[in-house]
Amino acid sequence: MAEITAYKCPNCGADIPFDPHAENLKCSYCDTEFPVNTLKEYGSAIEEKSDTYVWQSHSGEKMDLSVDEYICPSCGGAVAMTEEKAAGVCPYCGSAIILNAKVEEELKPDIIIPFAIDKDEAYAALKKELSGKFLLPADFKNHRFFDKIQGLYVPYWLFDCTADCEASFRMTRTRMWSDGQYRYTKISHYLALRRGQMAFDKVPVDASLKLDEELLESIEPFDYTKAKAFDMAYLAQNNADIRQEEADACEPKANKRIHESMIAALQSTIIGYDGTSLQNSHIAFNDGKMAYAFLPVYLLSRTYKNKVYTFAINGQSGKVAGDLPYDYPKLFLYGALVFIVSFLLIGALAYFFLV
Amino acid sequence: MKKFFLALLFLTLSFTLVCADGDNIYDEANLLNEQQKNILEENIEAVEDAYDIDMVILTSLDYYPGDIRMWAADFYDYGGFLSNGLILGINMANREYTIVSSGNIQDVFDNDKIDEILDALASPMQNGHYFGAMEDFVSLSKAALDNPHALSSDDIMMILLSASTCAIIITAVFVIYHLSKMRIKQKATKATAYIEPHSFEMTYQNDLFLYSNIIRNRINRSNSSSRSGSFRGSSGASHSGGSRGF
Repeated sequence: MAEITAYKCPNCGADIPFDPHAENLKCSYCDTEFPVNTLKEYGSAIEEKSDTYVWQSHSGEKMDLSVDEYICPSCGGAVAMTEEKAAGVCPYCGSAIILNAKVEEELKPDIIIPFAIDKDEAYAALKKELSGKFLLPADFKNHRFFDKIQGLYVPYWLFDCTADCEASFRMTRTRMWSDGQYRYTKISHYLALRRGQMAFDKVPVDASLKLDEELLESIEPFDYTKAKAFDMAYLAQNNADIRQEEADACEPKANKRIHESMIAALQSTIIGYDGTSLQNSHIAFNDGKMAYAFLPVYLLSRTYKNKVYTFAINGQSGKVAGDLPYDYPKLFLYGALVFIVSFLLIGALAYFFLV
Repeated sequence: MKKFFLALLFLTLSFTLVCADGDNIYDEANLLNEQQKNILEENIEAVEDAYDIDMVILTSLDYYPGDIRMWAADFYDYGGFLSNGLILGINMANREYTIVSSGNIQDVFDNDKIDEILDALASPMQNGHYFGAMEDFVSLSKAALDNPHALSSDDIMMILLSASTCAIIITAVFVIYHLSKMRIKQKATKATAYIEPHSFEMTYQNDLFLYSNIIRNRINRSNSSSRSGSFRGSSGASHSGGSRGF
């Protein structure tokens, strides 16, 4: 360990020379005095440490899929289909798909969550979500595009780990008083040091490049208690997306989500202050494992005014996500109407109040 | 006791003035010539006849040690005037002027209206055009009595401003609400749904005080001698009134 020659001033960031005999040290730049122990803790808190993300590699067990890969000439999307289902449209854009190649071997999913709702229920969930959307164009809302709804097993990498995180936070507490002549504001600055651990179970990151990441994240969470061991029979009922990303490419996304959750959990233990902000954090993963899974998603695409709108529906919970077109003339018209009516009403009220 | 004798002295002087001068103008400070007095008397009488009120203008060179609204109110209350009336007092020693209303014309000459007239008189008063200020007082009072529900340009501006501000806020809330309803896609930044229940364990926690800063700001106090509001004169009568320095 390097010998300490100076501490950093928590107030102005200047160096405060180390003095082994002093109990308190004073910053020569801002004149703030600190106990040596506080400076030691502060120095440790701001020290840069690298995060440690360790994941055990996936077994990579392959299986004989014996399915066909179909690709969409329009958007380039790829879907694995059994021979019995070898027809249809692209789940990503709604165009006709064509046979590309036979998929003989593919990574075997560790688990699969079967579809818990059927197409009718998925469509009903979508209709319910679209109802009451005032700014949705009427011709978009009323159009029947049920026939194009498709169940698709989306490949996911699932990450399990126990995260050990230490974080430091800066807080303030403000007190105000007055002596009649002056108003005083005292801002006290604090440092919170927190360390804790937490276990995460199957944090999902989709392995599909074709599907919008935000769209799939929006329909989470999935209930893994209903997960089954993978069986080819499930693919006879619904198609599967072809995996396009390996686990190592998905790791940073899982790391980020776990890290953010840990910081939020540690920050939630800080109470009684006016403002809290993260100063520094360091995380290490233990027992990092990953699994490969097929999770159930209904997809629906519709082209409206030359733009493709894709919806995803969680095949378990029916949660809906997607992009929606806006009826801007309606927004402007009703916005103007609301402005005029409220202006007149409030103006009349103010007039009668004053008169 | 001292205050009581001062009040007695004040009342005696007042009655002397009432008896000594005209019906409506008590110009102890000699701010007006005879011609100006006649013009004002004529204008005031026209208002008094039309509305059955008393309208009084009082000027003084004697320093009044207190709220000059009380000075004007007491002069009016003890001067044998009608219960409904209006007085403009100009105290040259205090360098303040005041308007006080009495009786049921307080409905017309409320604090806001009095403030409005006081503000209109500020410029001639500060420029030493006392006759002009008195003329303005009479004409503005007449206008207020002629059209008691007329809104001033300040009132209209306030209505327009508050109505537009509220309408903008309501429209913004309406638009933001409907736009937010259209967002059915949200990026996941955390993995909260995948935390194993009861697995969170704190292994270390410490809160340290680092330092504190104190910011000191001088409290700004208004130097203006402006006053406004309802009050009671020493006679117990209720008045509306305001005053300004000049």
